[in-house]
Amino acid sequence: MKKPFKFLIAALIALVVGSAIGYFTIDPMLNLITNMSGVQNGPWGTSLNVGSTSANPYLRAWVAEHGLLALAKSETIYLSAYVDDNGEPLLGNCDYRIEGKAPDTRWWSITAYGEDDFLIPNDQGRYSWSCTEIKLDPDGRFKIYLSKTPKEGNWLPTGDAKELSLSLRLYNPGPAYYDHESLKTVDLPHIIKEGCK
Amino acid sequence: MKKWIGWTVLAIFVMAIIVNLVMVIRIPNDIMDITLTQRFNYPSNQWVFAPPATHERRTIVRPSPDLLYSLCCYDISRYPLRLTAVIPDNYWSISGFAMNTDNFFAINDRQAKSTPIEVVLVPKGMTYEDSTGKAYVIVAPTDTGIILIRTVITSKDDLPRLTEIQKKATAELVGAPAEEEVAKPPVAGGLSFEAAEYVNSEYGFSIKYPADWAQGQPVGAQVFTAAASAKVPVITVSVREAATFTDSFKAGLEESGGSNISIGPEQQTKLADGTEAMIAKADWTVKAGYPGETFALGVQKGGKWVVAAVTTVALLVPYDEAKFSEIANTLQFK
Repeated sequence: MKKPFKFLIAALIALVVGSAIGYFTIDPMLNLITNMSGVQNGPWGTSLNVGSTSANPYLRAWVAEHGLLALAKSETIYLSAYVDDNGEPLLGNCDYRIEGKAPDTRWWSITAYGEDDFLIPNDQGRYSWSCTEIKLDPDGRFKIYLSKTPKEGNWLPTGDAKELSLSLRLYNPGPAYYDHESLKTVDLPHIIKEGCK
Repeated sequence: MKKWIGWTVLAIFVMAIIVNLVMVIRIPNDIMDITLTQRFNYPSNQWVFAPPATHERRTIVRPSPDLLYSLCCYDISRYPLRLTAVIPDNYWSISGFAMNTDNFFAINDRQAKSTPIEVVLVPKGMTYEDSTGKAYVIVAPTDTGIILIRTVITSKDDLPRLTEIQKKATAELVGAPAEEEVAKPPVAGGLSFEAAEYVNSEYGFSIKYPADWAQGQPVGAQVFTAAASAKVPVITVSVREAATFTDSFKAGLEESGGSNISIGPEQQTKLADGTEAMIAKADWTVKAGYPGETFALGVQKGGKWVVAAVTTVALLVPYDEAKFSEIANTLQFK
């Protein structure tokens, strides 16, 4: 085969295959790089670079896709959980108990989302529990029941969602939540699977 | 041969990196662009007061249902934008987002110098002298973007009071001629559809609608109706006495034989000429038993509500809030 023809074929292969690989690896790369630059504490994960002007292109892209218009850490910390305390995916056919002490923050809330990242339709119109309305135990701790079926207390209905995720929002949080290292060990709510149907 | 294979693999690798990086860099700007022009499609430099998020509102992913959002799509390419807002007595913040999604400023209720707070958004390279000394003068990294106010809803009972406070926010371009202070919505050539126009001389208004929609026979309080060939979407304009926009909107749906009517919260907006207007979305069951969705815009004139409503049955034609809003926003009064 002549040299120019070989070169043309090689360039064409590089163009097509390279473009395809580049395109189809966008989402895996976004997740990989976001996870690498993130902080994980039990089932809860976040990146302290969310909304910041120092965020890298991959983190910016991930935030644009999953948390558009998120505030920087100076104002709010957004923690997300897609798994329970055992690292297993949160599923709509399972019941979970979210329990812990109220975070050291001016205002906080825990919101449930479906697999499409939108609020889950339910007859109760209950999408979240916040510090202003949640019923606390006498010891100041709280329990939220994430379940399709009604529960006594702080019930967070999951409707017909198949896969679940949670957002813990901390507005004007205490200093322990700002720091990359201390955020790894600060006491955050536990997500405990109670059973599946 | 081996040499050729090695170079080809290297070229594939380099090409993959370039394509991946270029597309990733574009994602935030593309998403913001889509958000501004398609999802929101609100006029620039005006506040839009969104009701609390529910599962039916699917504009932004992972919304917080515990917050009231006020949103202003800014365009400061020609003039600085002065924003004011009354701060309630619980968590509140105002923040700005550039076209690459960067959160370039945030001020909360505890940091604010005064209430009402005053923020002046200035484009890069432009100077602004704050004569009052009270304003936060902020240089925006991009000429367009989004300003967002978050207000914590402490309880459902407190919602009416917080909504009232929310609606006291103002936005005005500094130094713009009066007619430019209110940005024009996309009318007269800027529409996404070829338009026909209905003019009502009795009540002094006009409205545009897709030219390929056929006019129908109005019933009851309707003064105009036109529909696409599939019968939906259909636009109706009605004029009736009612205490509120929602009452008038609901009466129109009932008049057409609708049932199970659920109307979302009203939002305040302005027409191109600055006329105050209200908008809302309804989910209901149309006379034939199918689920219907309607976007409506209403203006109160002389004790009556002029309501332009665009309805579809999603089974036939999907609900397109951007387009329905665009049609309803062509309502103009003389």
